[in-house]
Amino acid sequence: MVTSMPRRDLRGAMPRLARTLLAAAAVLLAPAAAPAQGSPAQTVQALFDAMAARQWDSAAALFTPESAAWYQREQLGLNPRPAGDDEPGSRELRLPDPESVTRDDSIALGLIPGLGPAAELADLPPARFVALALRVWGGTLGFETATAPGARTVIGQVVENDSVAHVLYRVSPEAYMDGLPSAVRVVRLDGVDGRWLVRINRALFRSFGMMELYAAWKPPLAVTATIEVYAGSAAGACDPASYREPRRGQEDPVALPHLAGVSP
Amino acid sequence: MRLARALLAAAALFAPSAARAQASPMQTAEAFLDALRTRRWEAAAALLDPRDAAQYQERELSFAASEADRRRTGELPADTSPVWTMASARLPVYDTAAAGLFPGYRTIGEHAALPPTRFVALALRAWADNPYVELLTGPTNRIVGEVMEDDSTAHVLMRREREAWDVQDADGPDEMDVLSLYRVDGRWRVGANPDLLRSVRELPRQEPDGDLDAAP
Repeated sequence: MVTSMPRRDLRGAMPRLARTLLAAAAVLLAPAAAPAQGSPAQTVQALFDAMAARQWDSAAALFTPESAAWYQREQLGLNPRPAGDDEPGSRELRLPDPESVTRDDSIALGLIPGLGPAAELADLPPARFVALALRVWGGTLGFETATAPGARTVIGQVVENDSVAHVLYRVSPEAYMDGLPSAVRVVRLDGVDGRWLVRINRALFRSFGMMELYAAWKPPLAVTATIEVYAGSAAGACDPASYREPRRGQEDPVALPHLAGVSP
Repeated sequence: MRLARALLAAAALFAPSAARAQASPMQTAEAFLDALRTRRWEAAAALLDPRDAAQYQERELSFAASEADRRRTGELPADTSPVWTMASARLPVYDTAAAGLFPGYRTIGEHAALPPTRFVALALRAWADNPYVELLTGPTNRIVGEVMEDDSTAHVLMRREREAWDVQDADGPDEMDVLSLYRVDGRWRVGANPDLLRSVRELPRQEPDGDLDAAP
C-alpha cells in the first residue's frame, strides 16, 4: 500500500509537478478548512466577525445546535417555566392560544418577516431561527454598537477538556450593553463533532443587548428597530418579498396583517 | 573551572525559587478567595490591587465630605442616610462628618489617614454579608484556569455550580466568574470591582473595632 511506503520512497515516486500541485492545493485549501477546526478563541472571533459583518447565517452556524434549539423554544414560550415564575411574559412569550393573544404578543409573532404563527417559527431549523432573530436585533441601535468591529477583543481561552472550553473577551466601553462592572466577559464553548461551537445563554445575548424578542419592539429599543413589513393578507401570510431591512429612527407602529381584528 | 560551572549550575537551580515565591495569578486568586472565605479581611485586602484600594478610599471619603456639606447647608435633608445623618447632625463641620463610619475612627480626616488597605479591610468586614463575596467563596466554586492578557494583566476563570437549574436551561449547571489580576510591583494583585468593594454609603452600623483577621 502506498500509505505504508517510507516517505522518502513516496517522494521519489511522485513527479515533481504533482508534488507542486499538491503543495499548492494544500496551501489553497488550508485556510478554508482551518475555521471549521479552529480553536475556541478562533470560533468566538469568527462569531464576532460574522455579527459585525451582519452575516447572520454564518453567525448562527457557530452556535451549538442544542443551545440554538433552546433559544428557539425559549423565545416561543415552549420551554417549561421555572418554578415560581408566575409572571406572564417575564421570561418568554406564550403565544400558542390565539384567544389570548395580546398586541405585544402579536407583534412578536410577526417579528420575523415572512413568518406568522408561532407554529411556523417552531418548525424552523433552530439555526435558521437564530439567524432570523439576529437579523431582527440587527436593526437595533444597541446591537449595532455592541457588534461593531473592534467592540470585542478576544483575550484568550481555557480548555477544560475535549468538550468544554471558555473564551474570555474584552468589551469596549462603548459597547457595554449588560451593565456589568467588568469589561471582561466569558463565553462557553462545547465540542460538537470535532468543532468548537458557542453555547447560547442569556448572559451572552444580553451582552449584545439582546433580550426577549418582543423587547425589540418596546422603548427604548423599539424606537430604533421598527421594521417596515407586513403588506400581507389578514390571514397572516406575510410576504417575504415585502420585507426590507430594519431602519433606525422609524417610529411608526407596526401593522400585522395576521392580527387584523385584534384590538391594540 | 569545572567546579565553578557546577556551582553556577547549582545556583541556577536555586535562583528560580525567587520567581516561584511570586505567586501566579491563579495562586493569588486562590489565596484571596481563601482569605475571604475565612474572613481574614486584612489578608484579603492586602491581595487587592493597592491602586483600587486607594481609589476606593478617596471616592468614598470624597462622597462623605460632599454629603456632609450638603446636609450642613440644608441642601439635603438630614434623615436619608443613617450613617451620614448621624454624623452631620452631631458635628457641625464636614471634616468630622464621617464619625461612626468605621468604629474607632471618628472623622473624615481619621479615615483618610488610614492606609488604603486598612480602609478596605474595614469595608470588607462591614460588608461581610456581601452576596457577591458569598458567591465567590461558595463551596461549589473552583478555579478552572487563567488567561494572560499581557505581562501585567491576567484573568482567572472560576466555575460556580448553580444551586438549581433545569435541563432545559441553556445556561447549564454552571456559571463562570472572572477575577482580573494586575501585576503591581512584581506581584499579582486582584482587581476590585463595585460588587466586591461596595460603597460604604449604605453600610450598616458597625460593631466596635477588633482584630480584622481574628479566627471566624
